[in-house]
Amino acid sequence: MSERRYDRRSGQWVTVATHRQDRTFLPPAHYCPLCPTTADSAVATEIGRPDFEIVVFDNRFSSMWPDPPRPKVTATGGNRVESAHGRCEVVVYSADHNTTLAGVGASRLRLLVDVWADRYLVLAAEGYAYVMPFENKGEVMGVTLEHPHGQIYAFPAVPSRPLRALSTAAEHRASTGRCLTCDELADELADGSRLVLATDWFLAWVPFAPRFPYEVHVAPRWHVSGLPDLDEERRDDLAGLLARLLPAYDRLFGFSLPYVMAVQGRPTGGDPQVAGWSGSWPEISHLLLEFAPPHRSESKLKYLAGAELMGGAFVIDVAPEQAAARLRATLPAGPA
Amino acid sequence: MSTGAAQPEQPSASPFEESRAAIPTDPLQPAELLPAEPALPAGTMREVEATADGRRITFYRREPVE
Repeated sequence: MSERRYDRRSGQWVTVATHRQDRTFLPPAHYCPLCPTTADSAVATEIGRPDFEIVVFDNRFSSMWPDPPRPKVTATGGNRVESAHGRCEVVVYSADHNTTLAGVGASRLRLLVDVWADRYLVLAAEGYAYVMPFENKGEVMGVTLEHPHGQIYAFPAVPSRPLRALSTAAEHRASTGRCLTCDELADELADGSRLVLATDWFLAWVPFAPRFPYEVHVAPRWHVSGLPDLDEERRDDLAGLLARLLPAYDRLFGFSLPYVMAVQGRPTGGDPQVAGWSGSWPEISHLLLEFAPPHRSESKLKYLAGAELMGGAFVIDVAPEQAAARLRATLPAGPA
Repeated sequence: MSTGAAQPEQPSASPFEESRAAIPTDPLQPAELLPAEPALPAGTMREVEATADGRRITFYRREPVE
């Protein structure tokens, strides 16, 4: 079963994908399906080559499909159900089972930026409305395969959280004539206390009101609405920033820090009027990378509990200005 | 002439002062969109194949820049 059901109360779509109960769960390294297939492989893996740089493939246990089955349930009364149309891709960052995105180096990160931009265009051409690269890193974030990898979901409609952000940006644009994120960047630059890293083209900062203690946002310093709009110089710059930020996370507590990361940008389709905007998506979209690590200290996690999960009201234990200072202190040296 | 007395400490410059000064445009100005670049810049290669069970698989690699 794989179908999308609408929750009338929250206004969110929920995908029911029962076959995912059977997906591979933390196999030993010699049975890793994301390693290259070599002469020494115990089994043929997903990747039938002995080596690779970055590889992207359709998830064997997708929750959404280009040609989805019809819903199994009959929606009665005011309930709505639809086929789970979409695409779920796996992005394997390296043939090395034992590295992480922080360890692949600037050159591979640069290739990853190209891959994200290319998948955006490929999936947009296939008619999906929102393309979101993301990574769940670490067992505490629910990772079921340890090999370094991310994912890309191509949604049939803009999901609720980015849609809410776009709606807020539309209200701001309508009332001020300016981009909300551009204004936020200007405020953070003027204040300086929450900045983590500034390059020629990008900023990394701890948000003024984050959801997680060491949350970091990364955005271009100009109004760039999506990944494909970045030219080579800006892609180089973003890769260079990530090559410093990711190791800083790992230095923070002295271990490879789990996180959830997502790349948000302009929708690939759909009507901006769903966000209350009569103009175009680029006017209210600003490229944004979000990093949300769950740790609030070396040994303690920030859990989503009553206030957060039921009230939508986040409570955090570290001052954002203090978190930014700690992250700045852990940054590796930048290029000369 | 120095009195030998300790001089009051100058407030240290924000580590981002230089960065702020380097902003070439005011981010509050409505910036025009950057022109779309080719998705795959020169030197980045893509090969599309199929997995053993027919799923799409795409290999990417990047040639070293000269």
